[in-house]
Amino acid sequence: MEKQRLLDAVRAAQFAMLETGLFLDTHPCDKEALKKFEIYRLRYKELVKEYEEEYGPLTLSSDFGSDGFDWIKAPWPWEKEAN
Amino acid sequence: MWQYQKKLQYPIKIKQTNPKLASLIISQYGGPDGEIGASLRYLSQRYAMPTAELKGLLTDVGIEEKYCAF
Repeated sequence: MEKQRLLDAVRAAQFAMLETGLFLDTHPCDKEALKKFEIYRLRYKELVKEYEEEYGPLTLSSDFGSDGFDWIKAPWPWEKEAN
Repeated sequence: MWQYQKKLQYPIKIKQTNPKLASLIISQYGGPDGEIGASLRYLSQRYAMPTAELKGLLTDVGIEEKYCAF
């Protein structure tokens, strides 16, 4: 998938996971929410892997950092090229 | 402890720069009653919470404020 679209999918999946996580802080036994959280969590991790495999690391500890030290070289998030 | 993700929470595409608006937005992050201040308050006060749910809530909301700011 095209880079920005894939990154947007990562962002959306992360948001869904985080918001469900917040809900679970005050409703830790809600079965529906727990189910959804697991779905969102797995989807987020899948999308991160898909993104990183093709476009490089999102975190320092990523399994997909290359020997060129992409971590530093790829555009920083506040720069135009990253958006 | 946190790990940095090299991406924004939402994409930013500035079509028309506006220094006055930028200044207002920055004040919402770092100014009085800004997001960063709120984040630090939540993260500091979670240690005084009596239950796991409340510790988790203040941690997650405090972190959420950081996402907004950074």
